[in-house]
Amino acid sequence: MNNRSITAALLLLAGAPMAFAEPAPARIFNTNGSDGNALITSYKDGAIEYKSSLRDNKAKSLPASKIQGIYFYEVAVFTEAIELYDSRKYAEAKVKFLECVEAYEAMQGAPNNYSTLAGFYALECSRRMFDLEGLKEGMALFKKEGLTRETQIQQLELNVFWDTVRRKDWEKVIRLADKWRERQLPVSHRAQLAYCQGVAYENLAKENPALIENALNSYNVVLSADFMASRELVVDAASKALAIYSNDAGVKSAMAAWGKPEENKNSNGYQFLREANALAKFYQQMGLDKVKPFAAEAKAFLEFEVKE
Amino acid sequence: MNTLIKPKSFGRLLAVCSLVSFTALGTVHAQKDLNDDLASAQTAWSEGDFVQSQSLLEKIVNRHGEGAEKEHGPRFGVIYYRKGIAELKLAGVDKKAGKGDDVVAQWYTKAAESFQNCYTRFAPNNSGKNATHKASLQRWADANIGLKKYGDAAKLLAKFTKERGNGDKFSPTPGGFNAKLASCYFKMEAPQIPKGIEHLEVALQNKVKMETSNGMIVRTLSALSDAVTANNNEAAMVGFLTKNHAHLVLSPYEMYEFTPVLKKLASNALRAKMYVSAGQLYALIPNTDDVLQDLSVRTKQLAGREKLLDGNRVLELAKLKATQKAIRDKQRAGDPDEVFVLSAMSYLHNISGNYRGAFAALEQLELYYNKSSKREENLYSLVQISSALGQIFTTEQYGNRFLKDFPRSERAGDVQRLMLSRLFFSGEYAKSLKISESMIGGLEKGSEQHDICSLVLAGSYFYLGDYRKAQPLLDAHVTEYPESSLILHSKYFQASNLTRLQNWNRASELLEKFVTEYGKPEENIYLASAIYDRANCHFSNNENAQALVHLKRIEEEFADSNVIDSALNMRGEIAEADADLATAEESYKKALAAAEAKGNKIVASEALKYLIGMLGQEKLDGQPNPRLKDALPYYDKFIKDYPDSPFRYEAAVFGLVPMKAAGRMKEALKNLEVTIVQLSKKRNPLFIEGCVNAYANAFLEVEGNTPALLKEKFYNFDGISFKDKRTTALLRISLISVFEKVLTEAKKAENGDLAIRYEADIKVLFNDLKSAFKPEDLSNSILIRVADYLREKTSAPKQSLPYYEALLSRADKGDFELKALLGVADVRGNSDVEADNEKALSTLERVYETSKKGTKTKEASLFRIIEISAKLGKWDQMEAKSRLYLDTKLKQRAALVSYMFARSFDERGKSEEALRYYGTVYAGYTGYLGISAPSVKRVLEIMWERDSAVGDQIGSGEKAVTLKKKDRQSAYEIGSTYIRSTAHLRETNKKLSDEDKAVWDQVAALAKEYENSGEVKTLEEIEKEKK
Repeated sequence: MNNRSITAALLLLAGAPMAFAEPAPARIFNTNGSDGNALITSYKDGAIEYKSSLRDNKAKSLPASKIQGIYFYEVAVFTEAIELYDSRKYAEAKVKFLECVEAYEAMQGAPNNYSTLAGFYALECSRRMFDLEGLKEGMALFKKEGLTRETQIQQLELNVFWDTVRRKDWEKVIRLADKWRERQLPVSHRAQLAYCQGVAYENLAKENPALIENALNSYNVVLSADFMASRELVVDAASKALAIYSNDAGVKSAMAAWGKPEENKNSNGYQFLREANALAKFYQQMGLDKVKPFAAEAKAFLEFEVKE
Repeated sequence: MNTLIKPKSFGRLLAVCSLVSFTALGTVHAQKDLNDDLASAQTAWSEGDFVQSQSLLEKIVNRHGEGAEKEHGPRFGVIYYRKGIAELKLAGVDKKAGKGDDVVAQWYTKAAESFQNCYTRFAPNNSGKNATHKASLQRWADANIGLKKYGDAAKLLAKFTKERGNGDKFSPTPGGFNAKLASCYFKMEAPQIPKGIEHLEVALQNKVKMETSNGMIVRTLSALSDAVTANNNEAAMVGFLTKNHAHLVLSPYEMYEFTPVLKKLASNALRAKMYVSAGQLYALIPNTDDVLQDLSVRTKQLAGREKLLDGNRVLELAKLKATQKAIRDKQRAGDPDEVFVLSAMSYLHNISGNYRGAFAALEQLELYYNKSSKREENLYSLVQISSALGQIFTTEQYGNRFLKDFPRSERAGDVQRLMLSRLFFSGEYAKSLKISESMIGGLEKGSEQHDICSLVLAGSYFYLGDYRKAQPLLDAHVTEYPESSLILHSKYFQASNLTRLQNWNRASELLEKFVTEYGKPEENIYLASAIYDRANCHFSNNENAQALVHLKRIEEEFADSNVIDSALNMRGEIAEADADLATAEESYKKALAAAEAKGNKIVASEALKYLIGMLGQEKLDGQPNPRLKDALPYYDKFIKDYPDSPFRYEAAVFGLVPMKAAGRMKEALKNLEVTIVQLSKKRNPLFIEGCVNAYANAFLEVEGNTPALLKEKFYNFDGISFKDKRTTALLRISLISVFEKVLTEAKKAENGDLAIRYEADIKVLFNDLKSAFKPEDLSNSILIRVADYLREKTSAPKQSLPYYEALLSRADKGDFELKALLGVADVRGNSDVEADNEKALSTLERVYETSKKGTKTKEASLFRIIEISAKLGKWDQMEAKSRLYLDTKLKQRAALVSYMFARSFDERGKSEEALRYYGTVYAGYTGYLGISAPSVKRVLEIMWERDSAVGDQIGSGEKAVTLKKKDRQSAYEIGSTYIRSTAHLRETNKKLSDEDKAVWDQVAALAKEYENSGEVKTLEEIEKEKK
């Protein structure tokens, strides 16, 4: 492999728009201790085919027995996609990620290849957009070989959990979430579980109103577990919790009786109204209203401030 | 020529200068000196002797600097430039060495002068070049930055941007230059935040192209944070973070390096109350698991190689491993960055009052990071917040965890207090009792903990119905803690508890005081309850009018209170007692509606019970009740909606009459059957006997049912296993009572055959009882129950003796010994054998002496002594024991004992005393015909026989009385008046025995006899005279 020519090729690839199958720029670590850059054209069971430069007409083979490791350089389309993802432009990011999946599909199976990574993030885009149908379809097609980070592999397990939410099997959501609760999870996973649990409790509370407090507690876990990093969950959980208060008959009565002789400060409605006021303040205090404006009913809670 | 002059190229520059630049100097000597000094400066620099290097360069400019523009041309500027570089270096060295700010500032000042000279005096012109001319602007800016003259520095950097030629490179990189300029804008006295952000964004958004290092970005972000904090301009920070979130996010392993700065910035934002910024900064702190995995993956990817470049990303094996180790150490120590972030989240939720959010954060700290150095504080906060949220079980769970893991904590007392008060005020009285009982002994009297614990202990007893234990504790709390924050509670419990103990007078007194002292409803949550209790006191003292005043107040002022339903029930009871059935019905209905609206099942079912009982009475004013059918909807509702109500037994029994009238007796019996089964499962089924007897009677009222069928039913009662000895025995004994009753009726009807059959049945029943319930197989409590029932409810009380004796023969008699002794003595007292009676008396004496004061056993034993003494004609003993009974204010049978007391004198011929005490009896208990009639009878007989005349003196000493009416006239009037006033009772009182009726009839006959004797003025005549 010629390192100079491959570097030039890497620079070309970094800026090139992606449309079809591309060789993946990588550094190959050989078992004999040498290493060098290469453009990998295919990967299978640890063996690769590669070119030293784009001008090479024919790819060479390197068996798995001679390869100690492969480091895939980050490709431009992935960089572009991840920037969109980090900018929370999930729809646009997903398109780019899928381009990357397709362009480097021949690398799938290789550890840390950008096609598989992009596929993973494309699923994440669906999840973060609450596109559970899209997530389900994506999961059916996704090949997880190549993912090496445990958190990402665990996220795939969580995606199955999200599918339970899609199927509205609320009791199963609660059962599964309770099992997960004991595990040491990254905060973003904890936030997802709490969110799904909140939604499940909220739905189950239609039959058993006592469960509404569980829903509120779950949503509040979302508001602290991975605050703002899981912004879409945080905003939605807070909005859902505020809506619970808005729809509560006791809260409505407490609002009507506010400051009047008939006000009952020991009623559940009054206590809930105070909670609603506090949550609305938190929503505003943390700038969530700039991300998603208050619903009119929720904004009204700000006026029910207790003067101590 | 390359005009980016880096410090590392200093030596090379000096060499160039010495060979090229100064060959044109004035004199050979001067040229030689200059070149020698330059060479020495170069040597010193390369040897790291920066002081010597600077000193030599200073010597050169001192000697040749004046007029150097003309004498040496622009190239001389390079010497000023390198002198400035040496001075910047020395500033850095001294700064690192911790020398004073003044020392450091002197070098920066010198450097600034050097660069200024280079730039202002040695601009390139036709006479020569100055390769350092534009570069000196950047260095001059650096010197100003060192002097904290950020405004000047910014101007110089801007000037460089404007003047730089194509070859003039940005220092250190284009991205670094922009970040530096941004920092100057942020740090100047009047920060120009938008301009600074503009340059920071250029550096950030082009970080690959412009080679902006992550360190530069984070340092500039720090400057931005300081500027927005100092200028209270959070919007700028929020705008920047929102717009550039994607550019700020790095791979987790890269991001981790900046976590300390991010944490500091977030903390600053928090302190400045810039919560949105704080939240956004927290979001940039990477998750420890993600960082570790990223590090692990990247380490593997290097496959043992030391270093790899991927774009501007540098992977260094040693650094990756060191970072991994640092994170693992931090994780093991218990305080990964998540602890910091979650603590901050708890704080952020707390300040807005969102306690559920704060709780969630704290609970995660406890669940996932419980090795944190701040665990005690976190766990304590968790207990506090869960208590404030009313999550009692969570408070208990984490409170227990706190006490277990931090038993010696200063906060342990507070935790115990929080757990207890929360449990108690949430209605978990059994748990509160258990905890307060275990705690109270270890608390210092007079402390807040003791105050709360003693109130909870007493209050738990109160709510759990253990009123006797509650009262002294409540009295003590009120006395010992008059200033307690819980005094309102203890004062109410104290007064209300007295009503449960039926100490109506003291309860009334305390309730009056309580209602007056805490009369404002908004400050007294118990006000309505206290008024209700006060009404209850009046009601129980038959002061119905006063009770109604309080009940009316509850209806008018506390219509939404928790006692309104009970108050309406009480109003109904009062109206029913006053025969105002319409008002009673209306009240019960309202009570039902109010209780159902609140979901108060007990009071709702109580209201239904009243309605069934009142509307379902068999007769009204002696006439068949036309409204029986109106009871049925309430009966049906009760059975359907409140099947587990504690009032079910009454509803089921009251419903028998209307159900029978509606032809639904079988259904009613089925419901009663279920009730009996329900009661049989209870630990102490108080009303099961009543239900069983009611069932037996009702069963026989169904056409076609016979005692034999009842026997079959009771022997195979659905839902009651034969293992349930207590209930099965009860059913068998009840059956014996039924057969005894039908036997009596058969004998009365002179149906000999039937009587013989029943007698045989009874014999079989007793034999069955003995064989099925062998005393040795029964527990103490069942033994005593079977025995008492046999003794009190059947015609064969002697059958109870084997059961009593079995109990008395046991080593462990529990609390039943005295009851058994009483039972045995009672049976023996009924024996016709005098010796048995004597034995009974001595046993009863023992029972009386050893039983506790105030118990039923004590009272019953004394009463039996009086009865048996009478039977044995021991009149002196009877007088003494009766006096003891009455003097100790025993109440159960006070009327009967009063009569027996009078009789003891009569039997001994002490007519004066007998007359006096009989008189007391019939005056005090006129309506109790069983004793008033025999008393009046004896009074009439004694007086008629004594026959004293007007003016005669009766008695002696102080008690002597002179008669104003002759004895026989008095006897007639007493008898006739008594008969007149009690005639209706003679007719209507169903409980009156035939014997009692006979005595009353005898009194009536005597009165008539006296009236017809001609010796007295009749009542008619007396009344005529009065007119």
